[in-house]
Amino acid sequence: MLNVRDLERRWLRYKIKSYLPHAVIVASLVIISASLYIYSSSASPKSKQADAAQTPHSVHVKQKTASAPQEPEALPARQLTQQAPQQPKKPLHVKQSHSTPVETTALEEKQTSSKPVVLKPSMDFIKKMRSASGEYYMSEIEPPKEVVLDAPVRKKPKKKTVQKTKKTQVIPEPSLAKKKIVIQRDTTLQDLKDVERRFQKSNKPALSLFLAKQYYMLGDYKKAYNFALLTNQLDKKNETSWLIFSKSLVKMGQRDLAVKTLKEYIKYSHSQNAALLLENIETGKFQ
Amino acid sequence: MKTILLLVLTLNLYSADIKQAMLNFYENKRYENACNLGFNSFKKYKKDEEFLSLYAFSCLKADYIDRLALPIARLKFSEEARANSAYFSVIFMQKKLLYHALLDEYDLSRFTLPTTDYILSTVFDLYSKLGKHKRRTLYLFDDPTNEKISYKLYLQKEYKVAKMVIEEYYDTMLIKRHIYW
Repeated sequence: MLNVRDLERRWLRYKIKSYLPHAVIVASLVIISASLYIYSSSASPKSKQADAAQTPHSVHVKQKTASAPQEPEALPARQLTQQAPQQPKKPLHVKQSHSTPVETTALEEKQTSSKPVVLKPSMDFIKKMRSASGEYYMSEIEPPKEVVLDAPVRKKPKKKTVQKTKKTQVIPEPSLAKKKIVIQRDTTLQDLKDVERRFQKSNKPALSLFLAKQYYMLGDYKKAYNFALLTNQLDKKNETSWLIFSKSLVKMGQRDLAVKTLKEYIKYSHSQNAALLLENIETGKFQ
Repeated sequence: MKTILLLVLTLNLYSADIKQAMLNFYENKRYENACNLGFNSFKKYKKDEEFLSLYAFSCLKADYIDRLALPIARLKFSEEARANSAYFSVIFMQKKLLYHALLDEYDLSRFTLPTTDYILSTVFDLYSKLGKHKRRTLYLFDDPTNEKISYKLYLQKEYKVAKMVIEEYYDTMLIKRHIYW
């Protein structure tokens, strides 16, 4: 015979055990949600309390400033003690209220003044270094435009042309104490003719390129074209001579030929500078 | 004792020699040499503000902008040093911003920053005036102060890093090419 009661008890225990994990999960969820609810509900009333506490404090301050002998009888002792730790907040609060109009005016000023500030460096340390180095570094080396060598030996009179681009002056050495080395570039026609003679003897493309550049700068586009052409014949890979060649053609009115030359050069060399010049010629930027 | 004195003297002479050599290079416009010399001897003279300033200007003129980072941090003990440090920091920031803008289409028009006389600052100002725009392969700018001077800005993409190139033209003739990365 089976013991039914015992079996029923055992079955009951088994059932409870089977439901136990579910119950644990549900209970934990309930606890978590309850705690969250309690936390959130406790945070909002605290902030309300803080606002409520501050307003009577500010009122309290105003009352104090208005009439000193008045005692804060309305505020109970507990609130006063609570306000004590809040006192440090007061200066911050006051400061913020005062700072906003200043900030707005500063912003307005910034907006109106749209010019960027230009920062410039200070090079005084180089002067100090020069003075510290002593006699070794007496002479001042000036930038290449104004750098001048001592006067040349030749005594030929220099004819100043109308189309001078740079002034030529020979500065004699004033004294032994102040030795200044002054180099000046001479771009008169006489010197260019000297360079031409040197080119005729040596046939160096660097000299012809120099002549092409100088004549181009002086406005003699025909000579610039000639020397650029000679340079191209001597050195086909020289990009500068091709550019001067094309620009001289444009200046002489032969724009189509210049464009054609540039296009052929670009096909051969894929030069970006030539492409840029071609674009400028075609758009009319360079005339 | 004598050997120690000799060592100290030679070291001092050597240090003076390096600064002098850098100054000579700088005055002769051999900025890359001055910058490399300063880079190699940076550890020894990192506390000398004159050395730092000269090193920074040399690297700036040689277009090694990233090498300005250490001088920017170390120049702080005199008014001149602080002024130069601010100058370098502006250029450094502009280089980074421009690089970011070219690669990532970052809009620079929102900023009102100080500027300098360095070419990168000029190109930065001209680029920021464009505002928000589609990315271009090539940018051409005219110098606002001189009609004959123009600038070309583009990215040169190489194997590992893209390099930012600024070409300076005088009347369509290339004067100088500045490469930054």
